[in-house]
This record gives sequence, C-alpha cells and structure tokens, in this order.
Amino acid sequence: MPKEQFAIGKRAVVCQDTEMKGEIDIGSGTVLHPQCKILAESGPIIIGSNNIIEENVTIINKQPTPLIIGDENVFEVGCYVEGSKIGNKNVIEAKARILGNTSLGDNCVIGAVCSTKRDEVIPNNTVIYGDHHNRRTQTTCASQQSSLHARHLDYLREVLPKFNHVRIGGANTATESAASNHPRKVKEKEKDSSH
Amino acid sequence: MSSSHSHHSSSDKLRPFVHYHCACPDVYSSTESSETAATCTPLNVDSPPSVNSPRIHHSTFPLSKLYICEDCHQIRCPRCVQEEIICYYCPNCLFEVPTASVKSERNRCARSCFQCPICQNTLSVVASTEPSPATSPIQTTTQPQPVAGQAGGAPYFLLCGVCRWDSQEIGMTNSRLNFHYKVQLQTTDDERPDVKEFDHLKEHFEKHLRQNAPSTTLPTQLLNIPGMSTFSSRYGTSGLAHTNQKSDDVSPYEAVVHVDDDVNLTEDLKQLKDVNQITTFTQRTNQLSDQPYNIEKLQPQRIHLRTKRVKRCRSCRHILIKPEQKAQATKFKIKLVALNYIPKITIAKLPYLVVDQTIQVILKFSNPLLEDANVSLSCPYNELLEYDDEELSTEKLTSKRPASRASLAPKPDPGVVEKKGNYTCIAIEITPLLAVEEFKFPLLVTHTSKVLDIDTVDNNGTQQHLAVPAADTTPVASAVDSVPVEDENNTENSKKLDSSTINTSTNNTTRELGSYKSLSFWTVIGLGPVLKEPRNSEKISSSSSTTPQPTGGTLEKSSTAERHSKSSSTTRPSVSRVSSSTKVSGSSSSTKNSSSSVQTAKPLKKSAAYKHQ
Repeated sequence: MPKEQFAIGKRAVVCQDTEMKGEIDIGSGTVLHPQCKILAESGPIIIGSNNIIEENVTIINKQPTPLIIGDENVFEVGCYVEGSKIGNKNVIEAKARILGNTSLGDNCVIGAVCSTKRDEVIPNNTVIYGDHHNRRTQTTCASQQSSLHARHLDYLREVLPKFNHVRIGGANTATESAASNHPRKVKEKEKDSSH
Repeated sequence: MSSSHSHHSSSDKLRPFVHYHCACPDVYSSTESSETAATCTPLNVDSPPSVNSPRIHHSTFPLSKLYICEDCHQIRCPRCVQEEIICYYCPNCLFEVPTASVKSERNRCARSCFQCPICQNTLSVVASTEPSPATSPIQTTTQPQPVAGQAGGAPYFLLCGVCRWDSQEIGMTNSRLNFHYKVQLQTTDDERPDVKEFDHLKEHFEKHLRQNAPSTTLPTQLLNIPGMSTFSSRYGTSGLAHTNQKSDDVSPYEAVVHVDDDVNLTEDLKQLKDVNQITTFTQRTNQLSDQPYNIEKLQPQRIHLRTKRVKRCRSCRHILIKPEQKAQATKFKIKLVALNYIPKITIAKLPYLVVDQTIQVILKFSNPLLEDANVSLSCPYNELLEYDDEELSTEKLTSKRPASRASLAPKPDPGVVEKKGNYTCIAIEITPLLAVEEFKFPLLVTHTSKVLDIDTVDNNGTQQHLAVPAADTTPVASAVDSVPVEDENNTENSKKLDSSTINTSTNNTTRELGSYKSLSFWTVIGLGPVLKEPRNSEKISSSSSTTPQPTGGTLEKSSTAERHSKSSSTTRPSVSRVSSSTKVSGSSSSTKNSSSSVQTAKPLKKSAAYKHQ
C-alpha cells in the first residue's frame, strides 16, 4: 500500500469532492474540479502548475515510476489518462483516453473521444482528431492558447470556491474566499429548495 | 434488442430489422389494386416481395423514412415522392440564398463560411493578435471577456476547432473579419491552366455555335442546360446532313496552355512511404477543381448550401411534407410521416436462431394513433395468423377502454404475449431449416383503424377462421414453392406456417360501416444469421431476455402441447413453422378452447403441407 501523501502548491484550487489516492504532488495554480480522480496506485503522480483538471477526469498511475504532468495542460470532462509523462500545454479533450505507458510531448491535442495507442511516444504538436483517430501536426499559435488558458484559470479560481468546498492545504486565499462566500452558497441552496 | 446479435454479425446488414415495403405505383403498377377494399383480405393481396432478391433493398425502408398519403391512403417511400426545392440556405450562417443567385455562387455560401480542407468541419474566424493586453489577467476576470475573433486585431485567419488546422499554414489571412471567397479563393481558381484552357476552348467553339444556333427551337431554360445548345444546333431545325457539314467547318483548335504531365507526381507517389503525406480521397473530392495530392495545396472550401424541400405524392400530387420557408424555422407546416399513422413494429425478443430449433420471436406493435387499431398479419409461407389488436395510445383514453374491451372479450387473442399502453406484443414461432447468413421473411400487415370514434364495435363477427378448410391451405402451400427463397439459395430456407387464424370477420363488417380505414402493406423482417449449432451462451441469453412475465409458464406449456400434437411429423426436417402461439395472459375458458383448437388445426395443415412436399 503506497503511502498517502498530498502536497498541494500555492494558489492551487482542489475541490473536496475529488478522489485522491497515494502519493500526489499538485503544483501551484492547478485547478481540480470536483469529482475528478487522481489515483497513484503504485508510483506517485506529480502534477505541474496551472493545469486544469475537470470533472470525472481519471488520472491513474499503475506503474511504479512516477507519472509526471507538466504545466498548463487542460484535462477536459471525463478523460482518462494513464501514461508515463505528459508535457506542457496539452489539451486532452472530453472522453479522450491516453493508454498504457504513453508519453505525450508538448502542445498536443487529443480530440474528443479519441485515444492513443498503448505505450507510444507522441511527439510535440500532434493532434489526434475525428472518428478514425487521425493524426496531424499542428502549427503553433501558442501565445493565443496561453492567454486563453490564463483567463480560463482565473475564472475557475474565482468561481469554483464559491460553490465547492476546497481542500485545506491548498491556496490559503482560496479557502478564505470560500469561507467568505459561504453565505452566498447557502442562499443558493435555499433558492434550489424553494423551486 | 438489435444489439444482441451484433457481436457476431459481421456487418450492419445482418442486424435484425423490420423494414416496410412500399408498393410504389410507378414501379409495381399492378400492386395498385391492393388499395381497393375488396383485395384487402390477405390471401388476395399481390404476391409478397421476393425476400432474397437484391431489389428488396430498394423497395423496403425503415418506418422512419416513409410518408403516408392521406388521399391515396397508401405508404409513400422516398422513391415515390416528388421533391421541390423551396429554399436554399447555408447551414452555418442560416442565410437564405435567393434562388436566382444560387447558380452564380456555385451552390455554396457566399459569406465567410468555410469548411476545413483537412476534416471538413466548419472553420471559425480567429484574430491572430490578442484583443486586449493580457498582462494582468487577474484584473480582467471581473470584466466581461472579449470574445476571441470579435474584438481582436488583424490579421484574421480561419481555424478548425477539430483538427486545429489554421489558414496561416497556407498563408491565408485577412485584414478584415469577413473572409470573402472572391478575394480568397476565386482568384486562384481563375489562374489555373485547366480553367484557362476551358475558357479558351469555349470561346473557340462559341464562335461557331453562334453562327448556326437556332434561335427559337428550344425554350431558353433548356438552352441553359450545358450541352443542350450544341444538341439543338446539330439536330434542331435543319436537316442532319446540312448541320453536319457545317460542323465540319470548325477550324482546328490549338491549345493555348500546355499542362505538364504528371510524371513528377507519379514519381512522387511511387516514393511515398507514409500515407499521411498525401491527401485523402475525401479531401481530394472536396476540392474538385484541382484535386491535389499535396496537402499544402488544400484550401478551405465554401460551405455547401442546403435545401428545404416540399415532398408530394406522385399519384395525387398532394403535399406530404412542407417545411417552413425560413431557414431558422425547424417546424413543418405539413408533415405526413408514416410513423404517425401506421403501427411501429419492433422486435422485442429474439433468441438465437438455430437450425431445426423452434424459437419464439416477439414482435411488438405500437399504435401511434389515438384510436384503437386492428392489425392482422399473414405470412405467405402457409401462414395466416390474425389477431386483434385493441390499442389506446394515451392514458386519457383508458376510461373508454373497458367498453370496447368488454365487447371484444369473447374473442381470443392468439399469440398475444403482452398488451399494455399503446402496444401489443405477439409471439411468432419460427423453425429455420438451414443455416443462412440472414434469415428474412415477409409479413403482410393489415392495419385497420377507426376514422370516427364509435363505441359500437361490431361484435357479430363470428369466428370464421378456425375451420380454415384444407382447400384453403393448399394454395398457400403452393405459394411456398413459388417463393424464391428456396430457388435462389437452394437453401430450403422456407418457413412453413401453420395457419392459426383467430377472429375475425369484424374487418369486413366494420369496413362496411365506413368508419374504418384499412391499409395493407408488406413488411420484411430480418432476424439475423442462423447458426448451425446452438451456442453455449444461447440458453443464458434466451432465458435472460425473455420478458419477465408470469406468462412464461404458459408459453412453455403451449409449445410443449404443440410438440405433442405434431409429434408425428417432427421427423421431417424440411418443414418449418411460423405460427402464433397461444395467448398467455388470458384465463378465460374461451381462450383455452380457441387455442387448443388452433393446435388441433395444425396437424391438419401440416399434413397438407406434408403432402405437398
């Protein structure tokens, strides 16, 4: 049984409804939506900074070696990530799957419902898209992507704590804001019940 | 249920299906007689569609594709409707293109709607520079976010959200938000050598055509058809010889542009190692003008326009489908789809088909109408099974139900397994004789529904059925021979059906009342492949998929009873039966009586069929 150990960086927002197992390191500014699963079954999972991990995402490490995830990745709703290494600025779209011991470069896009093969190395800028899991290499427009990503992160950091309990040990600012906004959350609940 | 066989059927074609046959008046002119009420009795209806002919796929359709003509009171399929285009529009910007300009715009959207050259999805216009300096993103969060592509700066380019292709890859950017195809695409189009050559060629021959073109022989619309003017000039007014002579006067044509041979291309293609280095077939056919093999030469194409169409019955010209004229409106002014008029037949339970094993297939008939409907079925393979199908589609009307039920109570419901809401399930027994890839059989459905809601249901119909005389079966048995199933496949895939008709002369009597409308149509039901040997999983699947009814026991009993009764002929493997099984839920003695009489009738039939063989 691996030891349970969570390290959560500064300004990271980790909702309390997440399922986390094993040795997990979450970098600064990363946002974890509720209902996502980070399962370090044998080796640790090390997540870099400013990632967005949405609902029902499963990130699982079955190998004894650590699964290292870089910075500014987006894991969209319901995707499944096994892999051995994820680079930076990747987009794993909804219900996409990264299988086996795959390692992903930088700036890749795994399209909705697409999957990788088992144990492959995906070079930088690869896009997997469509019914037949076609591949192509994209030309980068990195500046635009990153500014959009920054705005996305800011929005989530502001909104998520208002409606979710956030794990202590995450960003102090985030927990504070959660506490201060708590009455509002209660109000929301009342609204729901009155309907 | 259709998925139960999917894991071992190789293609979609072998999935179980229920298709409806359309007796298109222009194709099968003889079948029109079936419209008349006199021929509505199943045995008189024209011969069934030949199930194994390849043509069957062109004349049978799933229910969702069919229309119904209220005036002809017939099913209409996509083959027997006439279509008229009432509106051209772009599916992306929903702009309605006036019919006059459709041709000049080459059937494509003239606005900034483009499709991706790589994956054919819609492209969006994106600004390449950031709208606002995003130096301090924290402060900007509270303000409304500028939408990318609207407040951004030039240059703009096209981006595909699916495969992330962007038009900067081919150097296509625009200083304005609106990409105009004339600026972006047309210019390159006109420069191409083959376009030039064609223009030159046209010019060359037009000179000649103008000289001897008859001005008044053809209406102007026809002259617009490409090639038609040539036709008229040659064979139109004056004699053949004369024009032929004239056409010889054409001065020899010399090409202006010389198009290079494709030697380089073929060499390149020979060297090809990775198939991803060249364009796919879809990509080439989407760029018809030059069909490049080189990925870099792919260009975004304008989006094709769509049409809204009126559909008319070909016989009576009445409108079956009429959409709203506006592109944004999704409603229909007139919508006569068959789904709303005739019973929907689905396969509710389908065990594995194994050679020489009798199985029960449950067909579910759902009534889309608010009124009761009477459905009778018959199968050409010696089958005549009828049952009464009293259905009410809405709960509101259930209060009326007892009345009609009461009057119908004496009637037995043979083969009816379940009756609930607006549907009735019936059981059909099938014994396949040979292992075939797809087991199909035709079924004639006669659907009678009330036009007016009259409570007096004719109950005088005495049951003329049970004693279907032997004379009646003989012609049916002979029909088995004529069914091409056996001839074509040599499979003896025949289904011999024991007629177990129950009920009802009500059909005839009520038709006389004028309050009922009757419609007969053939359906073709495919049940997937027939296995040679029972699979291991068969037992499990068949037992688990049975409808959880307390009726299972009765079903079992009835089938065993049948087995007893036919024990004399079981050795004969060439006879397969599709017969309705006894009613399950009925507890009245009359039901039992009738069902037993059905069974007694069977050996009779069988012997008849036996003799025939």
